[in-house]
Amino acid sequence: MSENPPPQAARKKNGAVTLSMVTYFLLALRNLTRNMRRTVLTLIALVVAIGSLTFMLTLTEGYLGSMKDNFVLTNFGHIQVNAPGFQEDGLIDNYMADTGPAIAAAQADPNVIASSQRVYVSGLANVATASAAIIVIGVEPEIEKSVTRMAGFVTDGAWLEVGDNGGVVLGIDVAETLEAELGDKVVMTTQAPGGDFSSQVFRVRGVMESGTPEIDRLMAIVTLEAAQAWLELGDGATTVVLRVDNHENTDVVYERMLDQLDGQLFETQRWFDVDPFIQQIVESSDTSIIFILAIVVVVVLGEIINTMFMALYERTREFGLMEALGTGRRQLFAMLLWETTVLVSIGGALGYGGAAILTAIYGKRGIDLTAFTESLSSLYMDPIIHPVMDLKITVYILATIAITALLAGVLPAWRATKLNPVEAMRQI
Amino acid sequence: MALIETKDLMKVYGLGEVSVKALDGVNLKVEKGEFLVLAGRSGSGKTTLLNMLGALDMPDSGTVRIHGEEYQQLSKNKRALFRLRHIGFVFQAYNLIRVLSARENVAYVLELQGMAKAERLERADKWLEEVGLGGFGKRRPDQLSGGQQQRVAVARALAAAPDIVLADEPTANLDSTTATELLDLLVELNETHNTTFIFASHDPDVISRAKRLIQMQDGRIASDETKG
Ligand SMILES: Nc1ncnc2c1ncn2[C@@H]1O[C@H](COP(=O)(O)OP(=O)(O)O)[C@@H](O)[C@H]1O
Ligand SMILES: [Mg+2]
Repeated sequence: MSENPPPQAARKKNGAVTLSMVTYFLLALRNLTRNMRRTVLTLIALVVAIGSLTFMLTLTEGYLGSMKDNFVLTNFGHIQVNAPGFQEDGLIDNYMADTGPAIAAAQADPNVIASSQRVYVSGLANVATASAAIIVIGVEPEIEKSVTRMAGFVTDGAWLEVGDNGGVVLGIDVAETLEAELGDKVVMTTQAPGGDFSSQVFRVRGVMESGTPEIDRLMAIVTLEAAQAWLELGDGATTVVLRVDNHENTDVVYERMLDQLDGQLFETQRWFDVDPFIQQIVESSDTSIIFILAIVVVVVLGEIINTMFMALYERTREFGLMEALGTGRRQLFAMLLWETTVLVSIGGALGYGGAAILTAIYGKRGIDLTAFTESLSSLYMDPIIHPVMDLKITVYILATIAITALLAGVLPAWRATKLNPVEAMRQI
Repeated sequence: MALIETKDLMKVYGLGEVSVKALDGVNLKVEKGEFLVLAGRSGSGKTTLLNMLGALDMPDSGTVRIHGEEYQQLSKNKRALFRLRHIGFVFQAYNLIRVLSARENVAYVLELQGMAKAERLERADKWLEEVGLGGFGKRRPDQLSGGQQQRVAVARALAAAPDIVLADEPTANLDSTTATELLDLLVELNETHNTTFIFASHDPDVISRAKRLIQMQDGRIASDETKG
């Protein structure tokens, strides 16, 4: 009579009961393919939910990004530095006699791509038959090109040449009001520091159309040198405009500028300090994204919990058997959690992958909303949306998938550990 | 010390007037290497007793000692561990995990016991060979006949080197030829490995192989005879 020798490991009295990750994964995968129809249906729901959520995020990212770009690059720049008081009243009296420290701080900042000086002053433009209220902007013609897109808005004639101190580029509505053609003379009148009125004659070199009413109706652009001479500002200017490499860095650059210019007489503002409207749109869209996210999570959660409970009931007998064989509660729990996780991961990966492909395709091609363009352009919105995938979205989606898997997996898994093996094995 | 010793096992199902005494004071000693059959009519308490002996179910009162250890004191989790180390089960049907192959079914319990992969697969193959299923290791349960499935269950029970193998109506779903072959195997395993077997069955074929036969009636032991 030979004994059945116990295997060494089997008699480790305190050795914890274990199953390997490979075993859990294998069980999960095979059990999921056991009811292919149900698994596929659940996967479709997951792919659609995660996929459309992802694509919606990239679309939103795309149009919000272009909206910010459009606002910032149309005219304002990311950050503006002024002399104290100028932001309050816009009076030319509050100009910076020396822009040197602001320019130096901007040029030293690693996240500032470019910076330019401007003179802002309000006034009146006259021709023989008509007049129009204007805002005169004195710009550095070449440098301005690397700060904003203004030069690109010229639809008729040309942008100012360096040294062309007798030329003006008018907003299209200004030009229409004045019935001014290229080459026409326009008399522009404004107040110099101290309050004296001062007039100057300019020739129309170009007409610009930005699609943004504030610009098209008011702008009259001359060279910085012309404005300085006209208003007797010397080397001074009212404003230094900064272009930052990335919207995300606006705040850090802003903080550094405040630091750098601390104790000197400057005021600094970000684009959204001036026009909070767009920032409000961005924030309200963040809120609605979280709202939609919550809805998607709840719907998907319900679907998966339902699927997993069906799987649990279908296999009640088998879980009872496993328990009879010595499977611990932890192992049963892990088994169902793994199954849910594998299911959600596959669905999530396919959904995310599909949306990423769509984003790549439409990111290049763009989604054309020209039909709505009239109402959109005043919101600095491009008629063509280019969806953008970024790290933030990827993290969002990954987190959604992980949370969904955990939430959906825990309940059925917990129920599995509550089964009584004797009762469970009564079931067929 | 006996391998198994029960004292005044009681188990009542239901409450009040419709309650059933499934076990009504069972005192039983089983020694190592026995080949014991619990017989008796349907509803006489065979399964209930077997489940108590296997730490699957808890008595309302009374004690079960296996190796002098009382499992009633243990938590649900510890009882699972207790079964893993001491008890092998062969049930009437649906013994196998459906998504695992024959050798994976055998190896599953060995993995729970903490055995390394190569070792447990080798051991699984050896035991499949032993029950006459060499070469069937890769088959899933639905690719095996009822008799073959029961053999895999036997291989799984024995591979884990338990103190006791409990089999509840193991032949009930088999035709008589297949049942006879399975019983031949079990008797042989009892003799070659000195493994303790306890059956619950009213199958005459099983009863005729018993080395010790206990008749159950209304949750009590009605007779207890040791043969040859
Ligand atoms: N879970 C249960 N609930 C109610 N009654 C039960 C339950 N399990 C067993 N019984 C009853 O206990 C008695 C013994 O059952 P059982 O041990 O299964 O007998 P056997 O295996 O000999 O057929 C029977 O009367 C049965 O109806
Ligand atoms: Mg029974």
